Amino acid sequence: MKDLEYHLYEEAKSGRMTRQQVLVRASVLGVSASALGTILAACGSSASSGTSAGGSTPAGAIKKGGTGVFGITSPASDVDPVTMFNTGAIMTTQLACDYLVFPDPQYKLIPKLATKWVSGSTPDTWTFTIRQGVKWQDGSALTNDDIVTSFDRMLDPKIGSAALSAFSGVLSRGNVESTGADTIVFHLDRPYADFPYLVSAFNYNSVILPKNYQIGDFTKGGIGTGPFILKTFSKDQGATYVKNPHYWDKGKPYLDNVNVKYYTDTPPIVLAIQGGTINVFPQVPYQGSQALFSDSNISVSETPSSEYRTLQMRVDQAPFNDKNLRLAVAYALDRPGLVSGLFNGKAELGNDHAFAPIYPGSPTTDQVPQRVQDINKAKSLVGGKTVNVTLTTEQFLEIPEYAQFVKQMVAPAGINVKLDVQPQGTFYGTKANQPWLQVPFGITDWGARGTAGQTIDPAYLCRSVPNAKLSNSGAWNSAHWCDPNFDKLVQQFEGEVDQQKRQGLAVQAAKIQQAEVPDVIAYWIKELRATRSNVHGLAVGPTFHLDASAMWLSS
Amino acid sequence: MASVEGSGLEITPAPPAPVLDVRADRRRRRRELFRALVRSKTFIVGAAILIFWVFDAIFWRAIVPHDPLGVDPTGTLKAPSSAHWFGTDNLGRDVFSRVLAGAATVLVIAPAATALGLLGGTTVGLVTGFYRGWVDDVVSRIVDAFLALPLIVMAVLVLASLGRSTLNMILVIGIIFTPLIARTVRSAVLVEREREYVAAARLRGERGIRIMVWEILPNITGPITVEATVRLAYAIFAATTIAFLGLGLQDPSPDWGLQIANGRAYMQVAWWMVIFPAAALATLVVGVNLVADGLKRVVEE
Amino acid sequence: MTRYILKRLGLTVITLVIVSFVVFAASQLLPGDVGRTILGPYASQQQVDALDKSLGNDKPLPVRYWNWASDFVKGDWGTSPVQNVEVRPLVLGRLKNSLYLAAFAMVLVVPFSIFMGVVAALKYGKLADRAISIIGLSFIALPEFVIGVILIVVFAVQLGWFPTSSQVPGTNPVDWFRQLLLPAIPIMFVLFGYISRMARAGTVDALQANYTRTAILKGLPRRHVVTRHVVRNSMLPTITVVSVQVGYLVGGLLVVETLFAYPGIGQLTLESATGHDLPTLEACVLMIAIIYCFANLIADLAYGVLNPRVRLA
Repeated sequence: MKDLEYHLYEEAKSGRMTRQQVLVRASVLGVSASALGTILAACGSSASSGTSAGGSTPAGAIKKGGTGVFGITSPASDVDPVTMFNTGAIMTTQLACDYLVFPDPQYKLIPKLATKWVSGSTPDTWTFTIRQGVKWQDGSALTNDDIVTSFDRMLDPKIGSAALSAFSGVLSRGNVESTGADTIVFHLDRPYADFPYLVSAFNYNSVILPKNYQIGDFTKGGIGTGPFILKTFSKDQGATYVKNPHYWDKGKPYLDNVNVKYYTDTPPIVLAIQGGTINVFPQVPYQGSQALFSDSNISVSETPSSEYRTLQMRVDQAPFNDKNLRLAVAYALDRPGLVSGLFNGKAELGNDHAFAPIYPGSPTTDQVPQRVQDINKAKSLVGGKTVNVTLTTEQFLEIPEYAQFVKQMVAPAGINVKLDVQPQGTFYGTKANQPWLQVPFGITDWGARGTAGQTIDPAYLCRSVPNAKLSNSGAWNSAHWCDPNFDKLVQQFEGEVDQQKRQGLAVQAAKIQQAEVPDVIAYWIKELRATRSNVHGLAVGPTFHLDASAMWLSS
Repeated sequence: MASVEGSGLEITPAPPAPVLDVRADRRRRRRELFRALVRSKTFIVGAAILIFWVFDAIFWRAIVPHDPLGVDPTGTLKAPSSAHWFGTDNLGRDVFSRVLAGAATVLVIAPAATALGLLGGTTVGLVTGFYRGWVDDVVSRIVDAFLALPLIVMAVLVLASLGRSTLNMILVIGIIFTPLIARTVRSAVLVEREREYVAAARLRGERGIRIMVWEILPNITGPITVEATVRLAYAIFAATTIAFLGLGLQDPSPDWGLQIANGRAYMQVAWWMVIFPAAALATLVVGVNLVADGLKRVVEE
Repeated sequence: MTRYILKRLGLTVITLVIVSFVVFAASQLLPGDVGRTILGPYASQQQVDALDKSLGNDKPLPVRYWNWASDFVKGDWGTSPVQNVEVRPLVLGRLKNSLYLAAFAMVLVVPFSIFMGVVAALKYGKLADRAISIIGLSFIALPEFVIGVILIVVFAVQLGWFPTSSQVPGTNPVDWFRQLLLPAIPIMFVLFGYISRMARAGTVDALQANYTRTAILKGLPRRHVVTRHVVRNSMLPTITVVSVQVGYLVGGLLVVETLFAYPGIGQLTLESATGHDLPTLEACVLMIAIIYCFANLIADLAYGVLNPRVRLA
């Protein structure tokens, strides 16, 4: 048994990790089946956590045919797998394209274009075995060249893909090597124990595309190895797909067609699924969808995730360069109230650090005590003065309501908040005009990531602080916070395979982040996915990760 | 009611002071008008509704049971109950208090915009109707141009450029009303300028402005008042529609149009968020329309 | 007759030119700095200046206006900086969709309202008259967005008779009803109020006019009098109102299209306004004004046909 597997075995035996958590870690590390058997046997009687994927057990025989109709929010920018960064665009591409691996709702990794993956003796080399016989939708064969070029493209600073940010400091351009007919080796810049997550849907731009792909080709149709072939695309209406008859997963997909309809807002999607115009609402914000829970034709599944919001405060500008003011905001918020008011309980409490509860090995509240509301403390931190500040954010999901609550909750401490809610496209902007990276006080939405490292790297490290011209693409540290100690701890954490040591490092890093509070993290959202009751085979999450290959419709 | 034309203005033989007679006659006419209004059921009902809302707009702070802006994250989307007569909204705020407070925003913007429009429209209408000639032609073309742009569309265009604020809403609606009101005033002036008292004034050597303001204007207060109330109803409608479209006041303002826009997403689980502000808005608009209708009937007879 | 037509046409053109001034002023001059409006408050001054230069905003005012207006007339409406498509096909396509919806609503409501207005006038002062007036008044009072939301919840969600958001219908007439009826109803409600009131007023005037009394004294049957003389003359003010309502209609379309997510020009106007997409916004507003002016022109010409006195003046 290799080193990594041994560490996992230790954790399992001591009961520090649940069976579920072990399975997840094992999937990431590419643990062989035999070793997995030994490890699981050591688990003993720990119950498995995590909710089951909604509707994944077929009720009777699987019926083929039919059309899946998905209602999603319009892409706020161009739909291209390499440059996309919002839900609408991402889901549109995931129906037609594949990644090397794909996460399930428990964050376990499933083989897709890669069948096996394993690290070297230290996790700075990873070898992926590529599935053979995969065809592009135009009939040509998937080759290692396509894969290597896809990664080179993703890592090209001139193109500025969001993947660049995900790989920053981990994988550099040119270090993806094709060795042998069916293996690809990734030579990392530093040991990174969670690397397979970075080539999964959690790094949403890491879609595998043909060798001679040009940016903008995707919406013309017919590109990808995925279960459905894009036929038509209209930026304000939606997209249509047909079944890929040469899909590598034999027998799938079950549906004949897929339609994606774009909506500018949640209420029409809710009405659409109730009326039957669509049969899947893949990313359901709790606010505005309450009616779905009592509708007998609709089933809503939920699962914890690492989707969250940053209530970011720029530490390099007035007024939040004063740490006490940031702490005042953190102490002024009624977090259980927010979870209740915004999600009716369908969220987990956030503790102002980026180690989400769903990641195995995140610090528990025994190790890093949960921050609770303390208005008196907030008042004394502000010190009796009156502070005026504008909170800028986007018209998206529950965020405008969150902003309203923040405004009201910090008022007693003497902080007067003026709200500026902009359309999503304006708030994210482009090139040198990106308000979300520039405002002194804002709320940004972050999709779920596979690991704490993935969450922290683009948002909290020194090297992720945006420069004045915003020319370092992928640098998304919107609070402009830099703490070298924190960076060091996180880097060690990412390279560490000993689970116990890992947790220790996480606790130290979390404590620093909580004390400095560049962002208030008040909650971690539970993913909701709504389908009509005749829809089966669609996993409940994570976030905007859409794998419709196993979806089927009963009558 | 007897026809208004010439009733107080016949040249009686050897009047001691013609000007005094005219004023006395105007006062008599106004008394008769008032009496007729009070007898009109439509007017009374409309006026009662309007007075209720004006009172509420001024004194809501004393009446509301809860703070219209006060959030309660654990008490969101509650149905109407004894604690919250109209229920709570998605942030836990009391809808009843918000409905009461919302009258204030509409009843500031709409009357101010109408007043602005009246000022501009009456001036333009008087000048073009009295002087006619090329001034009239040019201004009429401009008026037609403004009519070609629907109020809502113009408001969207201007507010997107200027930004959202109470002042901007008043300016936009008021300026767009000007040509509409000018038209009505002009028509009335066209009729009045042919009358004998105007000719008499001209013979007396009075200057144009004097004639317009002191002779003609007092005689067209009837149609102007009717126009004002009709415009007021439309101003209310327009202001709330603009708010609904998201170009009016921002959250957390209790403006009725904004409340309805926000409540749209929750219609199926919290109908009270939409129905109560909508009902309030409907009663206000109906009230103003009834007043306008009543006035119109009385003035035209 | 030709002189009348030419005069009307000339006036329409002048009006449109003035409209173009107004639109240009509202969208280009009011915000102060067009580049800043498009890019938002956080863009650097350099970026704003660069954009202004590329749009030609540093040139003198009359030149800017001339370039802008002549481009529009030539058919070059620019490219949308937000959607990255050419403005003209986008706006014209959406306009077509809106015209479908407007035509549908008009065809249903105008004859019905006129009929009810005439009936009310014929039963002047009686219960039917008061009932029709009050119903008309209350319909006007309710804002379209309120009517629309109630319709969606009752008829689309609970009963499932209609889709919850409307698309452009196909050629099947049943599809026309399915897609367009719900969004058309709020528009029809309000139009009914105004049109029936006007038709009633026009009919009342016509009934009391000399020529009607003459016809009745001549011994013509009442029905004959009503249809031949009264209705024809009462149509004159009604036509004026209908053409005025076209302008109002477009404002109503904006609200209804947004509510039902119908891809028409109203929804595009609102979207481009909030998204600071100036070229699209300007094109939408200009097209709306052009439609209104031409509707008026047609109404004037129809008026001329119906009322010979006007023609020969």
